[in-house]
Amino acid sequence: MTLEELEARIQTIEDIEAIKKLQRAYCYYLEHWQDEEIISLWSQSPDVSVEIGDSGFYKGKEGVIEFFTYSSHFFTSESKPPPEFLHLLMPLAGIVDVDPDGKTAKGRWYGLGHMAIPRKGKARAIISSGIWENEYVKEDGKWKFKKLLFYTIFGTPFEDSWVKTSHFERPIPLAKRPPPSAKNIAAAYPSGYVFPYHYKNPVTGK
Amino acid sequence: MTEVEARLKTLEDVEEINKLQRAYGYYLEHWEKQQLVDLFSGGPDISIDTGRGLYLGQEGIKQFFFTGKRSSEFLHALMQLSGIVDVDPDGKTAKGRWYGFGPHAIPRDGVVRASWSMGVYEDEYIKEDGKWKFRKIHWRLIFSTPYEDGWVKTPIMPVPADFSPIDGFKPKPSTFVKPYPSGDIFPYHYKNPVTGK
Repeated sequence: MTLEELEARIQTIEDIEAIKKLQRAYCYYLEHWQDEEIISLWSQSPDVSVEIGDSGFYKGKEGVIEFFTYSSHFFTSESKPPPEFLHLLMPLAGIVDVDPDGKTAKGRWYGLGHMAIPRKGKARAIISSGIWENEYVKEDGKWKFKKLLFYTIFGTPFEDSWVKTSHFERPIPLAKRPPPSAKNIAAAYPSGYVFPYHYKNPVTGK
Repeated sequence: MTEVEARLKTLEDVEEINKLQRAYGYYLEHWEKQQLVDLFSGGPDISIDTGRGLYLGQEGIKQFFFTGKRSSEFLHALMQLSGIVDVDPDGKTAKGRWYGFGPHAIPRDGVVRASWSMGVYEDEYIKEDGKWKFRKIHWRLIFSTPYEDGWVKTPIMPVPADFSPIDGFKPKPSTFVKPYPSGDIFPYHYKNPVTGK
């Protein structure tokens, strides 16, 4: 093996580590909805996007800003979350693949979260689970989010569980959401929907 | 060491620290006190603070872990998840942020209750004799709630008496951010990975 080949292999591992850090840093910022920090993790590219469950498909930098800005996301006049707000969503079980050119990458993760989202002045405990299929891009030597897509499996009031109430209504009214990117992304348990994988079966390659 | 060896070394260091942190979590499950104590550095400036006092030095670490007897019903699973580990440029010290989340069953006054525990670690590690060890375990509890209640109704259960030092040892006061619903953000050891601020 030449030194160049060895360096390229190390570079791929370093890229995966940097992407894992990006994904995890994003989630730590979500805990208290630190919107400016979250928005800063996005690429400058015009084709960035974010979509979470039935939120609708938000395109471009303006879409990312609108989606993550606390007041617009939670449909409130407040600019910051109150102390009883909690949006803890752990990124788990990541599968990250760097594309051969080393400039773009994809990642699948589970999200499992324990939340307390105040509605009508009262916080309710919510358990949420879902899967991300995200795309990342390397710009100026740093990995950033290009596309964030989260399929919500359930978001349930703690007292109910996912079989009784699989989906807790999100704060933004349906009429104000943009259309979804695909019909199934808005599905939740018990739809039976298998969220498409960015990778092939690691054994068969199919 | 060549540049390529140094890059490989950093990757290996992160993997070893991941193993150390996760091993700590597995030993917590049945409170294997000697195994837990042995994960710490031999230096004088070690500490642990989980919100019920700052335990300093070798004596403090022993006092923290060598507490009351654990019955067979005791369960203290705390999965070490979503780690962000950064090795300092000298390769001798490192820092890590992790979620800790797990199902517990801790006897209190003779009654065993199922509970969920959630929090964030900001830990420090040091390499001694070629091995990574804990220098600081600092855990900010977010909630510790009875299984039936949830974190909004009952964010924090009282710590059982048998978690206290057995011979009157007095830890220093915790200096930590408060649990839910304080809104406090446990400070990050790292800069924003994109802006560097």
